[in-house]
Amino acid sequence: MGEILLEVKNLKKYFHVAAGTLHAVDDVSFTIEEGRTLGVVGESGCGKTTLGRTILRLIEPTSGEMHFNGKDLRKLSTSEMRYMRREMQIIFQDPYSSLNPRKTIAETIEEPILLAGLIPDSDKRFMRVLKLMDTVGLAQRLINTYPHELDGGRRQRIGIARALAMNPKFIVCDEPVSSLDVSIQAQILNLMKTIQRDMGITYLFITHDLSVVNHFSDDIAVMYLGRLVEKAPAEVLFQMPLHPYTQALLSAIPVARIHNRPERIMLKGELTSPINPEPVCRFAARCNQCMDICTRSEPPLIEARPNHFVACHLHKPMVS
Amino acid sequence: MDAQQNTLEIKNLTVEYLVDDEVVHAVTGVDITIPAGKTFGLVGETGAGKTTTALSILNLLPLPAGRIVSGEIFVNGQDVFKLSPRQLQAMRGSQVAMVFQDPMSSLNPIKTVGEQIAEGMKIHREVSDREALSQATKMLELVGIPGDRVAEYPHQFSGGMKQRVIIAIALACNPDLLIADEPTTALDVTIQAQVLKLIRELKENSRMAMLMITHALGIVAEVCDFVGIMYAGRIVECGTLADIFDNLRHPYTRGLFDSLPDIENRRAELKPIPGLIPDPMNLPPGCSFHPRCSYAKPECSRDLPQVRWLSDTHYVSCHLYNETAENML
Repeated sequence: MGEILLEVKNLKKYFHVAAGTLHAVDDVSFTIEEGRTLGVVGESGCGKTTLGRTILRLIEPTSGEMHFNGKDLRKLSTSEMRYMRREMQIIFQDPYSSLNPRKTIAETIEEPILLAGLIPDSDKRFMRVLKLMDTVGLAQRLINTYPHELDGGRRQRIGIARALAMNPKFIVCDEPVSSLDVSIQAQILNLMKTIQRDMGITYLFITHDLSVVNHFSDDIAVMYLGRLVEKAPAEVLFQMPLHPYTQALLSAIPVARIHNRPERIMLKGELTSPINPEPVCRFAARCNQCMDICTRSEPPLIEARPNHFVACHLHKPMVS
Repeated sequence: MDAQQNTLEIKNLTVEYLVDDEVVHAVTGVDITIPAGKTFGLVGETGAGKTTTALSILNLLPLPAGRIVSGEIFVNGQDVFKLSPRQLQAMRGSQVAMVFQDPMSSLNPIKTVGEQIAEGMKIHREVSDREALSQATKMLELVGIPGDRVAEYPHQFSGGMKQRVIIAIALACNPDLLIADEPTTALDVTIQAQVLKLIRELKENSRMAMLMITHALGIVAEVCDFVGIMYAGRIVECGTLADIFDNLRHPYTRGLFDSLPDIENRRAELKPIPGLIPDPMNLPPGCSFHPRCSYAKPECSRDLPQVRWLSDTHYVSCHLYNETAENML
């Protein structure tokens, strides 16, 4: 077991909207050990993106705590937080809209180094940019190109180089390969794995793609309507999902083979509203194993088996 | 095979776009045959020419840039390119219907879903407004939406429901051919599973042929009977579902499968295809895939590979099979 790099405790982010209070992230707690990857999966609107941004304080949380490397992030001043973000970076989903169209590759990658005043000497800074381009597999001849001249895969490599520029310890990856073709997706996933191995980076990997998250993560957290409903090591989660939602989600993966296709659990209906949720299980209306208690009280996240957490009335805490 | 037996026959289709005086070779020499009641999955990455192929069927290419250079397309034996604009208009939405990728932008926000489903029926089948609306209610129920929501507007529906509404619009006139362009790409997996189930059920209960355009092999495995793998405007391998999933021959097809994470074995390394798809304005000589192919031989950069039939249903276009039908991968 490694050192805990990030600890999130009872994190909440509520948005006030016309119809009431939207519970985007609701009482989420977890830890990530250094050098590991926590995958966060869930469908649109489950709060996974808000979670990633709230951890970096790109969105201020409503309540809860984030401890990074032992420091309480919410107690940091704006300038201290700014300094801290050198160690905490983010890679965005859409490589088309997250790059400044008027900056060349070199300028884009150089910008964070320049802003942080990390390398004052311009020649050395330029060497650093070249080194970063090399790390992410961007050919040197592209140094003066603009984002519109490049395909999605290369743009995502720029996003990664920019995140790496500060030598971060931790990167939030928000659907980094979702907009890429499969052959390019595999290139980027392999690159991110190599970087992790070489530089010991810790990832929070947000995605809706279950086969990608299984391949990429050490541990997986499943979110549903703002709640963390299950968390376990990746292989455990895939072999023995405990939450009925996780079970349905895993069975819905379109598998690229024609024999031994898994039995599919069909869910009724669609996501209910995250606005002013009742204090009951948020999945109850779609659950095929719904019991009386599920529509009366909200199940807390419990450790049902060693290191396997679930928030469901079907499961009891393990006896220690 | 007699043209009358197949709902769709595309023969040797070549489509170009003229952009800034340069020619984009979008689709080159594509053949697709879909018998009634069967589904053909057209698979490929961005820019492979899948959507252009689909748009050609109803002559919907963007003008003036798009141009059909050669080829023939038959729908129910009728030569589409010989139809008058009026005849073509009569075919669109009735014999042939289309479902687009993005459910958010393909519905009219200021008309009720009922009106939008009824519209096609009113145009193509001289039915009264009342009759069309009652049919629309039935269509809505067919795709799993309560009929009493017929008077609601698109914004009142979620993404998955909107895609169902679009499928209902497409099916309203009971088409012989449904063209579905990435119909579930914008949807969440559990909703995607619902929509795919709906598509499968519709198939089982009708003689409708379907052209399914997708980049996801998992979806192909679920709904298709035949598969065509498209790369840089050409179909490089084509066969039945079993031909492609159990007996694939083209290095690009292999690459597509190897790029996918293995759900059973999470430690298996991904083997991406090196490099990028070529610029369709500037395709490499010979086989377009040769710069990325680990099996490339000298002739691959020189000569275009010929189509080689490996069985009655399965063909591949690759120099590895010039002399042999044995699997070379």
